Amino acid sequence: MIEFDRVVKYYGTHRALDGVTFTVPDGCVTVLIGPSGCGKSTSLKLVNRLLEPDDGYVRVDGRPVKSFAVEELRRGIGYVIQSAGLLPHMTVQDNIGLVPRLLGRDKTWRRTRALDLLELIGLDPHSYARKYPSQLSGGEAQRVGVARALAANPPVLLMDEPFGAVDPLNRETLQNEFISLQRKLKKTVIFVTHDLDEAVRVADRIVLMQDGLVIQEAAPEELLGHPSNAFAREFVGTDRALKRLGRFSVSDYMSQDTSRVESEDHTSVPASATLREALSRILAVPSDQIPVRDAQNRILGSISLEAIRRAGYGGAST
Amino acid sequence: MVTDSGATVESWLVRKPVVFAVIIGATGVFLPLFTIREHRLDGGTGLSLLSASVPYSVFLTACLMVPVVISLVRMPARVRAGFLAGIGSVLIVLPWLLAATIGSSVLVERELGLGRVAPAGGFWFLILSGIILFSEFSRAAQGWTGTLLVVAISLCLFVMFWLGLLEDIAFIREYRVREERFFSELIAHLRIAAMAVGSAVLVGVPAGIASYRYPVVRKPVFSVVSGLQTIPSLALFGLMIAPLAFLSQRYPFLRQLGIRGIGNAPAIIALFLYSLLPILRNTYTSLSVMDPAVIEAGKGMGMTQKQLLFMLEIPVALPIILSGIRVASVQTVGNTTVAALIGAGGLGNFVFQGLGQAAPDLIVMGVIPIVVLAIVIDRVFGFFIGRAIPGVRTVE
Ligand SMILES: Nc1ncnc2c1ncn2[C@@H]1O[C@H](COP(=O)(O)OP(=O)(O)OP(=O)(O)O)[C@@H](O)[C@H]1O
Ligand SMILES: [Mg+2]
Repeated sequence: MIEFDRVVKYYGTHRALDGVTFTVPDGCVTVLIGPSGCGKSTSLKLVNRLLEPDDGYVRVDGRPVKSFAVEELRRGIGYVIQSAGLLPHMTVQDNIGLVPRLLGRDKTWRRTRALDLLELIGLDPHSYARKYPSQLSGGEAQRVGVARALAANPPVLLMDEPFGAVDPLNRETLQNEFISLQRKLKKTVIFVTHDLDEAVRVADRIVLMQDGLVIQEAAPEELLGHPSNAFAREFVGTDRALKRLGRFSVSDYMSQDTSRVESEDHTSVPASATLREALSRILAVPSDQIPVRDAQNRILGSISLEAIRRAGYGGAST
Repeated sequence: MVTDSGATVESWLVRKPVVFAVIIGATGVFLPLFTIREHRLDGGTGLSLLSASVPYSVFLTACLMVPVVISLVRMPARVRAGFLAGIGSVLIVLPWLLAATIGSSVLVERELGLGRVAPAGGFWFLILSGIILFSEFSRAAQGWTGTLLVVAISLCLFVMFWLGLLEDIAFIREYRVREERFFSELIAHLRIAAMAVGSAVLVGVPAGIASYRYPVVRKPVFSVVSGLQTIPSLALFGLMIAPLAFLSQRYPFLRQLGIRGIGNAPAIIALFLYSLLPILRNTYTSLSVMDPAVIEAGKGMGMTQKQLLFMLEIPVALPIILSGIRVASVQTVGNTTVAALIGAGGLGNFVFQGLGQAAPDLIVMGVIPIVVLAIVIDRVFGFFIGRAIPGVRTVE
């Protein structure tokens, strides 16, 4: 667990954090979101002590970070920095193997690990392992940055806009990879992003910040359903109800009843999709419900406009 | 056919050095090629190629026309570059051959057994035009062409020298009568320069790192070192004499170490002070222009201060630090010449002896190896800097 307790941070006379308090539960993804300059990166750097707070405490597992030996602390925290920050004189594989090397892992272990991680982030290990950072695109460099943070298998990950430079399509793939990886690994993650859709997709909790203050700390459904003030309402946008539907799965709201489904319907939705996708497809057909299919394309039941509306409204009212 | 602007730019880039080289080469054909001297202090008479040998002047003019023709004919860029670098090599070797043939035969004709052929304007101009062509195009020729040509040129010159064909050339005469001393002075020259640059590296690199790490150190260090650089080299050598003479008077053990007011010690100290600035400046700059994100990453991964310095900062900065050492080395090899004035050894001894005796051939004999040394050192550094740290881009 990571706790921020009334943390204040100045840059010269500029107050970048103005008494920030929030909690990052173990095994969850906590997203820090907010406009540019609100103090997201600053908060991350306070965790691995690249910065020291001017007041208040940052605690990891109940211990103030100050009480850890700084290098030990950092080697146990994976850090993905905003601009990748790969070391230019090392190959991709050596960059990924850096923290294991500092921890005394041998060469063979590091190489195997690097190749596995490249595979995982979707870069062909054999053509990328020996490249230098100057030979990578911005998005590729960022992905290598993620692999580097994972290399020593740290329990805590700090990710500063890890997919910021990746194109939308690959970005979604990476987000999905990240989500399924996280289900397995259960790391304690602080994930910084600008992008509300990304936040809604990956977050277990969201911390919304503005001008060095925490505006709201909540589960995504809660933030979208009940933004706590005018800024939060504006930030989540007028389509917040739609975004919120993105948190719900079709399989939880479909009906097993297949009697009203006409089998020649062309439009259907996979059971694994979100209510947001289901809604989008229903709006494209004249009927007010569509069949739900499984991965083998068998019809499982149907999802209706009514069910989606109930989910949206129900969420908004509780 | 020139169809687009890219081609026009390219062909102009090809032609410009060719035009320079041809103009300089043609000037060389008209200037006196050699001065024929009866003895080493004789003013001598000029000998131009046109008056000496018609076939050779035709051949030379043809050589000079080839680059013009080549730059107009359409062919792949690297083939063209190869041809031009080749012609450059011929122009570098040819004057020596002319000295061995035309020059020597004039001496025989005029019955000047002890006379000598002193290279004059034409000789140097032809070589210069060859060097321009060679250095402009040897790289564009790609592959091993440039290296092969350098080997071929050196081999030709060495074989001519070895066969005794160059014995009539004035500075070779000067060399022959002091062959042994030449090598001892050459080694002394290299030793003085190496000790000066070596100690400047040992002091300048740490000082640069300290200036980067501790901002308070920067100002005093830089103002002292830049201040030193503004003292003219001759004056700095002079300034060394008094304090060192005093010290060695005062402490006899210093004298036993060879430290006196004149000689090697003050020369090495002065040259060391001169070498400091480029090394210090490049070390400091290379570290301070580093991408802060990279440093942040290094720290964030849990590198200690020491690991940060040796695994990250120094390797990434190395190409720029090496460029500083390169500048310092080339500059020091030149400045060591002046060191001869305060009694240090080195090739400068020949230069100043030549000046004192009004014997230009002796001066040339001293200067040629200095120039060659400077070029070789520069090239060797260039070779290593480009390959030192693979992922880090370097500027040539
Ligand atoms: N090194 C620094 N020196 C001075 N001011 C700084 C420094 N780093 C950040 N700031 C200021 O502190 C504030 C918070 O910066 P921070 O980098 O935490 O923002 P951020 O939320 O990560 O923004 P972005 O989304 O653009 O990355 C900004 O106003 C910024 O200008
Ligand atoms: Mg930021």
